[in-house]
Amino acid sequence: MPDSYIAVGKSLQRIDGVDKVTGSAKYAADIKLENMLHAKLLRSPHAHAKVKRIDTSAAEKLPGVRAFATILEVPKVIEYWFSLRTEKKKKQMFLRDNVVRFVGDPVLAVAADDQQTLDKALSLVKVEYESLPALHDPFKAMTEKNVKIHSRGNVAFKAKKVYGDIYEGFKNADIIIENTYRTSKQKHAALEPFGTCIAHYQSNGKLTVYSSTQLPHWSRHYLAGALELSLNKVRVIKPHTGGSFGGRCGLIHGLEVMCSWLSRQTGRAVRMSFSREEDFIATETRHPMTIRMKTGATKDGILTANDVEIVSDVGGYGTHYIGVIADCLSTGAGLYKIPNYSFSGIAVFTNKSLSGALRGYGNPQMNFAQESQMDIIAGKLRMDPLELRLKNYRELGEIDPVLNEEIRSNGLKECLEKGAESSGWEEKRRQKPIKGTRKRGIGLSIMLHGTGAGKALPDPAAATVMINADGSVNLVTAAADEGQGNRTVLAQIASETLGIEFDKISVSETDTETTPLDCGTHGSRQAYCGGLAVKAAATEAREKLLAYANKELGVNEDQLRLKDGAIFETTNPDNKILISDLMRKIQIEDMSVCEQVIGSAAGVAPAMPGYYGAIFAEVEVDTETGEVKVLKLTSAFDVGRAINPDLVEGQITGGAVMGMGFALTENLLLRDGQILNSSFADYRLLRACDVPEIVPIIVESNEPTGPFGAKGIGEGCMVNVASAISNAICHATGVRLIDLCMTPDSILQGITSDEMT
Amino acid sequence: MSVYFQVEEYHRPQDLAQAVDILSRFGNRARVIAGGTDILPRRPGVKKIDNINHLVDISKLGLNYLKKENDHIRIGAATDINTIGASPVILSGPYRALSEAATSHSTSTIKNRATVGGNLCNASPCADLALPLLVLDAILVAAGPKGKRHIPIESFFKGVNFSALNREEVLLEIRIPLCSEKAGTAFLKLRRHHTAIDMAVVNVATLLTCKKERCKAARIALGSVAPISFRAKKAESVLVGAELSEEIIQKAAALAAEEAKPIDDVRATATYRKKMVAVLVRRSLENSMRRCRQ
Amino acid sequence: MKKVDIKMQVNNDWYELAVNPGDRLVDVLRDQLDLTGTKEGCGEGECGACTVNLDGKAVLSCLIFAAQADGCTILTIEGLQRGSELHPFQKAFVSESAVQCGYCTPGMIMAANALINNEPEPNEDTIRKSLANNLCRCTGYDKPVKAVLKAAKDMKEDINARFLYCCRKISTTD
Repeated sequence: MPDSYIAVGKSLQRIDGVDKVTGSAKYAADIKLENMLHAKLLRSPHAHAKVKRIDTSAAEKLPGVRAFATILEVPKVIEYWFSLRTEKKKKQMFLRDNVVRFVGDPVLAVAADDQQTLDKALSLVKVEYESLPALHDPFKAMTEKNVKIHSRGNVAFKAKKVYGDIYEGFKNADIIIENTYRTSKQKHAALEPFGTCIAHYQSNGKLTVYSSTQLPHWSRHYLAGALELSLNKVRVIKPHTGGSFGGRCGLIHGLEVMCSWLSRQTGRAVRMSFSREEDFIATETRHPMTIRMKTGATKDGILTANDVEIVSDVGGYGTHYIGVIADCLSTGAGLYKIPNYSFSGIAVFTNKSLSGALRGYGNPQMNFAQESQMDIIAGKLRMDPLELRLKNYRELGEIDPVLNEEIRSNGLKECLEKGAESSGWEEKRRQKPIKGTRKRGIGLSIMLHGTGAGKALPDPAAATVMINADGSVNLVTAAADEGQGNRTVLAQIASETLGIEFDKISVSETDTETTPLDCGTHGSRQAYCGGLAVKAAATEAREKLLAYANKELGVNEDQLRLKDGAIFETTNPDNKILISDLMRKIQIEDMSVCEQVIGSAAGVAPAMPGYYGAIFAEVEVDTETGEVKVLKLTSAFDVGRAINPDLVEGQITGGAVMGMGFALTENLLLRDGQILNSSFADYRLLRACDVPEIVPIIVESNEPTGPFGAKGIGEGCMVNVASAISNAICHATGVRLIDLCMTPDSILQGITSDEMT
Repeated sequence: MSVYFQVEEYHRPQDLAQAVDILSRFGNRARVIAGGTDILPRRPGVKKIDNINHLVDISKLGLNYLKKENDHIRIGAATDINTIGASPVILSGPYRALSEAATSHSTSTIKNRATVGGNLCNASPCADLALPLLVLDAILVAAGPKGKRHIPIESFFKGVNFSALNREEVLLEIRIPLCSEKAGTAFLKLRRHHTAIDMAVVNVATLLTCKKERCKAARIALGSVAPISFRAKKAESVLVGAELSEEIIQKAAALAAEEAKPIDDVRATATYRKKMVAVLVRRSLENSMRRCRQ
Repeated sequence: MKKVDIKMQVNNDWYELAVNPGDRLVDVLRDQLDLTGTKEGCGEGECGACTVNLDGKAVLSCLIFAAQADGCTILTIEGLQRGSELHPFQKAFVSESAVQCGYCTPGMIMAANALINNEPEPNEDTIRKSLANNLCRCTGYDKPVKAVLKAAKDMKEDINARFLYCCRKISTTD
């Protein structure tokens, strides 16, 4: 990497750091508008029911109660932005009916002067339900004809894809491993609960919504569609956000639309804020999956066939079920060169809380199954698991069969080599078990995740760069920063492209009123897609700067260089002009010009490059209690180029801990559709004293299509943690776990049953 | 987000008589508050607090102390758990299990406010501090309209979140009779794995005193495996008078597991808990044995 | 319901307030005093986003009734900086890239502040234990712990800074 880079590759301080450490950064719940009303939802106690009658008469009499909105008039958003593509599909996005489909599904919303009046009002509302049979098992729901959760039935989506000839593939296999894996209902559990919304529908017909959404522009579309407003009449402002991890990919079920409806009725700003309990029971979770996988390999460790059948549990509603299944296919078939691949995915509605997007999408589930299979095969063949991966992963230059794209950068081998060396893989793998009840082991896993979603979904990216009269820059982008620091990364890219110092770049607020259409933050896309848009916009601005400099310095553009706020002749650096002087001149001083230098770009990224990772997990298992202590995680990731290494490390470490939770402690437990652990007391997140040593390793493979070579990191860093830990537990104890999360009880049962056989 | 129950009045009595008077006046609508870390996170319909709308703050009643006297260690009911965990009086020696329970109870932020009295009066079957106090034969001093009374800890827990205290009574103090310096006590807590801070899945405390190699006194207290914290007396009886060995400890541990009556809940299954009682009791007895021989 | 009169010092200012008996300290700080730096993440004392210092100790403001804070000295995140000069904790959290979404940050810094004021040179293990009530979903805790270590070191080297930033209860006549 060039030493002369001024911003790229440097761990520059994030632009919102000071606001956050001083407490001055405003999150949605910190915003107070004048004359604001409060709102709350009445939620269904039934998993599946028809709402026959709603009687708000007693509640209406309460002083301070201002308005009601019910599901009979307010639509629910039930599909994601793929459906915005046609007018016909767009109409299908909004569902208005009298059915509640999970415990906690909103029935109505009330707006009142204060919190106490809200609670009192809700206690006076009478709702008559007709209970319907509830379906909790996706396998039963799939075939059930008499109980339909949605009018089109219980199968939300079905996909089948076959490459090659699966029968031939298994015929050529020397060993065949088949298992059925099950994954859990994981929750984002961001520190800022999902969610708080303030909606203000003004008398001039303009709706302004403050809400932490990852996709401000799509949210704008959803609100415009739900309230039948034109886009210019809808403004979505995203304040600082306390983490999202995919759970705010659009609107929150029952939040913004209800809030906006109440504001329209009352003409006042209305604020609705979900409690942590509501976050747990009534907002999106990861799709729990049952994955039957049958994998064949030769005795030399070459994979010949993979047969995958996935049943994905959507819950009562879901907007992401198509993308999640597609992600399983794309990451599964993309990672390894398996010539014969059969994939079948079925997404099924059940009467449980909604499933949606959660960091990694469908990949953590798929990866758990696939990397467990690989580990089993390595064991059966007595082959080093690392060697097995090297023999089978899809290499640089090959064509990804799902995306139909050439793999232009691939640092997986380097990830494996560096990770193996750093963790002491070989030595620890060969270590003899120590006497006693505590057993140690080391396991590895690899992963592939896509950057952006340009091949699957509308994925616009856009940016505008405005160079001010003093040479400082305003960068305009709708990139939603959920905490990962993407706005800082984009400023670094702008800084590098323009040759203007990083601290002279300011980034716009995330406000649809003043930013061009950008998909937002999901799919690990902002550094790559957002970065390309910023680079293109900055390049356009840069070209204009050079054109003006050409006139001033009398030198051709190709002989000029920009650095540290100055433009100078490459071969004669004394012939230079400060950008600040140049800008003042052409923007203000020269009254015949008066032109601010602006660069813009909008479009879709040229590719969906995969980024790779390898994790080495070391564990110690107490064989008497089944408790697992993770001793160390070595996580190596190929991010193309680390625009800001500290931010990349932050993702790797944070993803490692979230992955540990997915592996060991996190699962929403349900009984008859009721979530039993709807608080942090019983939905266990890992704490500062629980986490092991985590060694992040950054590998840079330089993606040629990426801005300065960058790809992504945000999701991949948690995708293969669970599989690495599971493989380590197997190395330590010989127990193979096929269900997540891996509780001490399940581990103990595995150890005990092994002892009996 | 706000408090789940409606508070009508917040009382700040200046002395014990006032406190008792307020409790008598408002009956089951009033509740004592010391640190407050148990009462505030309560959800509606949970733990019988729906009727509460009067709070009686006892923090000004001088119940925050820990002192060793001639016959007893006396701990004020409103002593915060951090203070107990760090107290040199109980950190080492025969009362060590109490220090271990205090340390493992929760985070230090919670324990800055949470009190030993609160832990006991809340009477959760998982209460950590109950167990070492059970093996140390603690006596609880309560005060009500009829005056003071002493409640042996074994009679204190009546059911889930249900203690022997009457509605108008305030818990004042916990008294631990001084025991032999050679007694070995230990406390262990099993949590959902990989979380250093959690409510117990199973928790136990043990006490052993021995003369030469023979066990003189044995106490085993079990938590989280029955509606109340209790002593596993059958298990204790095989130890008393016996020569302490690996085998006898295993036998006692197995018996303790039989005496446990756990249930399935979100944290663990009954089957797992039963198995873990045997493991934890065995490990705790091994610790006690090591400590009583020192 | 009967309002409760309380007097408390928040970030060096004394306030006389009439609060509802059910008001929690976090409600009074955020809604009445407009100090929204202290966050509410769960309302149940589990996440630590509401951590403040009360008489020099780290406490969860969602688990304290405002009435219980009568006569107490409270320090919130807004009280750490001196004018525009950031406190060593604030500087360290920025310089060590220990802030991501920032929602846990004020609570984490306040927990660390209470620790350092009681124990100026903690080791990593002690820091992690004292941050046990501060959940973070973004960072994995690594960089925040490093930031606390750095701040402790910086504060030790600047003994005057420590004295200024230390907040113990200023005794008043009760």
